[in-house]
Amino acid sequence: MTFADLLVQLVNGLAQASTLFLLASGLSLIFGVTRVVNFAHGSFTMVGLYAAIAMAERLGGAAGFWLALPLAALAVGVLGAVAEMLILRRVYQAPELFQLLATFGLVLVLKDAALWLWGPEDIFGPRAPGLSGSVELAGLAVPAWDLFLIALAPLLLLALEALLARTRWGVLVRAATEDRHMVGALGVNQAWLFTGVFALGSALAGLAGALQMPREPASLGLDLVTVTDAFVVVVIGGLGSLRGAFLAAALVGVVKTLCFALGGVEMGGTTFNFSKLTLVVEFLLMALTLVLRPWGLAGRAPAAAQESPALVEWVRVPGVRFAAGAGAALLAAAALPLLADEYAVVLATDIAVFALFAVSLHFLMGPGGMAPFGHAAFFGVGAYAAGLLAQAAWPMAAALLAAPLAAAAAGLAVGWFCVRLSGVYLAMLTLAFAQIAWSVAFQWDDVTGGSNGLVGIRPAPWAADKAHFYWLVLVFGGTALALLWRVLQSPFGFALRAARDNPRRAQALGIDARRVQWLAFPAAAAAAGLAGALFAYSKGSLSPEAMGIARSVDGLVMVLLGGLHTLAGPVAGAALFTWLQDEIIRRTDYWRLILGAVILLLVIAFPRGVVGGLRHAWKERS
Amino acid sequence: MSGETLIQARGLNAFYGRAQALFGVSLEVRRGEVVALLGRNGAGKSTTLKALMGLVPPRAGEVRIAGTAVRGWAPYRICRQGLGYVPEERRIFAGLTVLENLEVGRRPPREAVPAWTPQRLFELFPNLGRMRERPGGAMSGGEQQMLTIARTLMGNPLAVLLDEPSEGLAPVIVAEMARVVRELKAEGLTVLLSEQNLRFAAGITDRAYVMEQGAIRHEGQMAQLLQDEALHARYLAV
Ligand SMILES: Nc1ncnc2c1ncn2[C@@H]1O[C@H](COP(=O)(O)OP(=O)(O)OP(=O)(O)O)[C@@H](O)[C@H]1O
Ligand SMILES: [Mg+2]
Repeated sequence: MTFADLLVQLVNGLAQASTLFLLASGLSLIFGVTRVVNFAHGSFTMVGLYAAIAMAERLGGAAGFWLALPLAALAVGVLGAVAEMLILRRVYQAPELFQLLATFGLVLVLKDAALWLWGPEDIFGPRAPGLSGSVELAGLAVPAWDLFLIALAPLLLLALEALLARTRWGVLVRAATEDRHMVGALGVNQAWLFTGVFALGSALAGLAGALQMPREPASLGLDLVTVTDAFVVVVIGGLGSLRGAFLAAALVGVVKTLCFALGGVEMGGTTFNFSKLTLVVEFLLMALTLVLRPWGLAGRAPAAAQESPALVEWVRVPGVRFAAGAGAALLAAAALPLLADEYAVVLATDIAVFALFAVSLHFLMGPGGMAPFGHAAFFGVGAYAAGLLAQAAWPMAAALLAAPLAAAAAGLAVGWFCVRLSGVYLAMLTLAFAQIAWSVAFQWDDVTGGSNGLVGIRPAPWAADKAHFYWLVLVFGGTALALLWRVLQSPFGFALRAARDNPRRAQALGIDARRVQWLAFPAAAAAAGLAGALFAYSKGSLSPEAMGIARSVDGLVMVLLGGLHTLAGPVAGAALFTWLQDEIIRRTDYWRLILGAVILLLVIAFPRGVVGGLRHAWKERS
Repeated sequence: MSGETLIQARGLNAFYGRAQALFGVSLEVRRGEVVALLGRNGAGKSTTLKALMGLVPPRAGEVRIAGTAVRGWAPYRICRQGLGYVPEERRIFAGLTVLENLEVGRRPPREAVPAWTPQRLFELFPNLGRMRERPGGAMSGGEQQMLTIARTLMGNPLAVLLDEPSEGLAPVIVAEMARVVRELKAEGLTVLLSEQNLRFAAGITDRAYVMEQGAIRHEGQMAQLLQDEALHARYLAV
């Protein structure tokens, strides 16, 4: 690569950075004031791009293109305001994770809305009239649109800063970012402030989307890619800081394109292919930031008054009666193959696998009080470990024992970093690790099969029959459940809950809170890894999706559906979720819309989860 | 002196989670009065003020501000109704300048009360006037305490809740604080303040309520209370 090539790449990287900044500034503003980590931010960008293309075509001509940019931003701003008023306003009092889940419901709904409006095919937008060519810069041909984008970012930063510094609204936004409850006590109606901030942030996301018209086609996959990029930038920059987001966007944009530009580099005899790092490098940067400077490059530790309510105040740790009940339920479940057809048995196998996954996640969330957002990493490590061992001709039983160990090792490593953080920061760090694991699976073709994944993961002959495999899952899953339950009743389980409820008092009791929370990770990871291994054998093949964001979110939905307060909750949640998903997918193409709507309704109606909510309603009555 | 009742609470019960913190608290502050809420650490003084303000919504009882029942209202509406709140922990916006902090508190003027402006407030708090552009985070504790009061006054309240205004301040600043409260009283402002510092409270208040374990145990004129040794020993001595 020549120096000139590098320069061209650098311009490309900065143009990307500019878009990242637009995305991140909106997300950061919204988080700063409302404390909501808005997963739907990328969806707003996606809608912005679709809407801009549609408007540019409808209006036609050069004027149409330029008018479409602000109009699309405006439309998305209105959409954001409506979403805030209808949905988020109802969940501000809930723990962070519930809000995250509500916004994820919004993601699903918006994706299917876009599918319905604009169809499944990618749609190419018009090129920018007047800026479609390239500009001669130091002897190089640089796309004019890229230069336009690069110029736009600093202007926007200045405009936003002026808005925050010089208007009453901006002062209120900054005050609310520090201490929104105090702002309320001073007579400011937070509801409108929040709606306004949401509208502005969404409009910025919409604008970021609209500005991609000449650069990339509108596609339904944009939402999650975009929002993870935005998360990364916001976390690196410091939640709630515009300047931090600006710096971080430049850093991520440039480092990403540099990795791409460097390509294969000879290092100590072996070739290291940097371009393979493009997917993972931003998450490496984010993990590094969270470990070294937890509040980001320019962020500040949140004021105590700003902290959101605890994930869960209590978890009923059941006694022997529960164990007896669980055993009876397990026996009843074991009778299923005698009564139902193969389809039901396969579905029940899925349910059992995901119940184990959900229980392992609940172990960290309920008794542990932590909110991991990348739990699928452990599921995936277990699944891939089993898959690779199966390919290496290990017997299934050995692979099923080794896979949880591999996942536990991953849990030990990830947990060590994660327990140094809390709240959203912990959630984001686990997300970073999960994405790193995902990109390794996705890009390490030689070992993991890359995007094709692994195939031919066959159960041992004695377990090949669907019913036999189902029983196997029940035995392994039941054993893992029993072990986790024992752990919760042990002094370790007590220490874990003490560390969650009151770290300082736990310390006074001689409990090393951080260490206890750390060790909860490998325990939960082992169970998740076992679920992953069983999943791999039940499906016979594996793809990186096994540890994608969607899998992590599925787990959260299951746990929150069931409720955090009981151990039976995640099992019920997993059953309900898996069954619902199966039912809906069979009936309609718009299953996301329905699932998303169900999530939204549940979060709004049952902030304690279904089992917890019903139990509470029942107690209130009696 | 005994004008209309501005703050009235009857039988307030309040909870933190499952723990009850207030047990049937009733009190009354009339226009122009400066009333103290006394009691040891954890007696429930701050909780009472937060319950009045709607920050810890009372689960039972009645709150009336200037005659209007406000229980269950959001704090911003109670503020607009005429109740100002100065929190114990000050909660200055550290990243905002003095003027910006005041701007956050600004509300439209009220009929019959002269409106507060930054200019008028800087006369009451001369040292704030000398640091208008300083960020709240770069101010001393005493300066921050003055700023929280000024910020609340920007809302042109009819009555102000002051939560332990003298807490953690040097004696000179406490004296300064006493001057401020006296001047506000002279302006006709109504004040309900919580205190542990009896001497400070004695210098500026007319009446007092004494709290213990989330309930009002005694009510009376400040002058009487000062002479009642038994009362001190029971509810106030450390
Ligand atoms: N946020 C909270 N969560 C749970 N309990 C609380 C909380 N704030 C106060 N309490 C409890 O409520 C009771 C009353 O507290 P409050 O702060 O009203 O007392 P106080 O009279 O203001 O004390 P101090 O003079 O120390 O400020 C105490 O037992 C306290 O432990
Ligand atoms: Mg107090």
